Amino acid sequence: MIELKGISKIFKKAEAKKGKVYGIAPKISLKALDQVSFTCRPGRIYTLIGPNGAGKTTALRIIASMLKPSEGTVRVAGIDINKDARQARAKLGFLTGSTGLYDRLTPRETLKYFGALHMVDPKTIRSRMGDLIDRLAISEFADRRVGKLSTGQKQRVSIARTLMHDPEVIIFDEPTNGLDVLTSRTITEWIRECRNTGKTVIFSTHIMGEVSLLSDDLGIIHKGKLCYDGSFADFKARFGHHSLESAFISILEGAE
Amino acid sequence: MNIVWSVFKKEGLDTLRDRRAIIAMIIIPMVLFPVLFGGIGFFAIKEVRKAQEKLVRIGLVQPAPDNALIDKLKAKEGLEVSLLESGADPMKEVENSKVDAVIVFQSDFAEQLAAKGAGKMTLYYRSTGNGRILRGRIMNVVDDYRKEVRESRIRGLGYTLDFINPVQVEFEDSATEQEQIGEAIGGFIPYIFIILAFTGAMYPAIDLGAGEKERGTLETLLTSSAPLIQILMGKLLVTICSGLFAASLSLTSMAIALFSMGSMMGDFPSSIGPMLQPMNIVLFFSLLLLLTIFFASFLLALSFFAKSFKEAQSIISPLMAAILFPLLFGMMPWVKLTYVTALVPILNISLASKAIFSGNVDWGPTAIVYVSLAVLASLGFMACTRFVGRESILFRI
Repeated sequence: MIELKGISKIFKKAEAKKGKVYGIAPKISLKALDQVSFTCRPGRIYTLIGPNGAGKTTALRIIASMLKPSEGTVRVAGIDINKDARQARAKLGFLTGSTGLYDRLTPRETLKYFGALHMVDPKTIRSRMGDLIDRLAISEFADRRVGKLSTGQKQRVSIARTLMHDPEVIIFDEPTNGLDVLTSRTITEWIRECRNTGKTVIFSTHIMGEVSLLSDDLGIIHKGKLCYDGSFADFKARFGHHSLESAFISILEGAE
Repeated sequence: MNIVWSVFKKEGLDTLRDRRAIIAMIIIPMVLFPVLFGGIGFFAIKEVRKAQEKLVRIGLVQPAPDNALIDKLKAKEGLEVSLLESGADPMKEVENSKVDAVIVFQSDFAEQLAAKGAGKMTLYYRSTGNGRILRGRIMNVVDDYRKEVRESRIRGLGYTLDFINPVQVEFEDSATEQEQIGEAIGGFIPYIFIILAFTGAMYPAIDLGAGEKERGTLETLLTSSAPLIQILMGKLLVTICSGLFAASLSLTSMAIALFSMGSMMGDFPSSIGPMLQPMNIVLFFSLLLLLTIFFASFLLALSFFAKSFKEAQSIISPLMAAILFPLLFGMMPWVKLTYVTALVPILNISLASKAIFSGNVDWGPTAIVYVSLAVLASLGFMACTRFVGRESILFRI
């Protein structure tokens, strides 16, 4: 379960061009998230959509405790990230479109390393690694350096890395960004697989096709505000006569 | 501790598979010093020997002069005296390498000497290449002859040689051989070590901080439940080991180069033997260990501060010049280790190692060197943890 209550995030950024005092640029505040609240439940996929710069990645980074919220609380698997971020991180897996893998390691070395980082015992690391290598069809290239793998192969290794510590909650931050159709399908199948095994899944995307394919619940974010939060079934019932894309645009226009 | 070890193993393996790090850590230290000392020294010595053993061809202009000096030159082994063709230009003969030198005696050379005057001669030679060595070999014969004539003239006047040498000085140096060599080598060894420790630690530090940020792997790393401080300690250990490895390798290859060069030159290795006492080595390496920790922690902090690998390189590379300045200052003979200089990083290492190798350790300032380096190393590590922990630096928002 992921619960966000009244999350706001303000970034202080130096204004580079104007208003320098003694060579030091004054800082301006940017509100990336404004009172965002939603809940992602186990065994369901919560899809977060929004235009570029809407605040999707900021929200996901706050859930992963990489960023601290300026206001509000986040609970991951029942743990308040402001109180025990490490414990919360032990319960979550984070996967981005950029894969985040080490080119000079092999997939097997990568999985072993991330298992150790999550303090999984060596015996479990071995068995889980074997299982993931089989299920994700990595064995053929498990001992080849990641840098020499295709994008699709890398993304499979990245999924295995995310699942090495068997997290309860999984965050997919635009995982199919820049991938071909076949590789994207592998990822979407795995997102479903995670949902089917009872994990809480939050997933951000730009691609409307993926939204209808995967969503159980939907959140639409625009300029840091959540403009829609509800089940995808309700969304379809409400905007059934529109295409998903035009429904999305009309919500964004309504929020302006 | 398990996390530190896991990070250390992973980063170590990753670094050993990085071509750039291997070049900075292994290839440069292994090749640079043997080439500098062994290679260049070997060829220089070989050239000098060749010039010393070469037959020196001396030409004389017509008409053939006749004096005692010519007899001495002819009698000297390794010199060959011949008569040039009539009308030959001495300068051209030397320039065209027909002979190595031409001697033109003034027509009254022998008469002047007999009349207790000064005989004049001109020596034509080429100062380039090994010409100066060849000239030196001819002048040795001339000087011997000059001395012989001078002594016979003084004795002829009824004086002893003390007549022209009224004050005789003997020098007694209170500095031992170890002190003399220790000061020279003790200032030079840290110079090599510090530069190599810095360059050896530089590439891994950039890769483990800014490189990781650029590749997007830092984000995944920080979403793990591993404590940040342990991740950083693992990274720091790899950076320290890389610096130490590069520097130790450079010292080893330098020692091999020096010993092989020394064996060509005579008793050089035996004279540095007393400096290499276990106590000196322990003191020296403990200083360098602290300095490498200081380098590694600051390099890692700067690397995490940078947005990308390139930015980290452009921040860190100019620091090399900042390191060279105190090092060069430390090589000045009048700069000594005091309570003030002990506080200046890098300069203090240079001065302390000079004192260690020359056997003149002043424990007060030396202790300050250790303490100040330990404080700086801790500050560097604190900067590291602060930089990585700060979201504005992590994501450079």
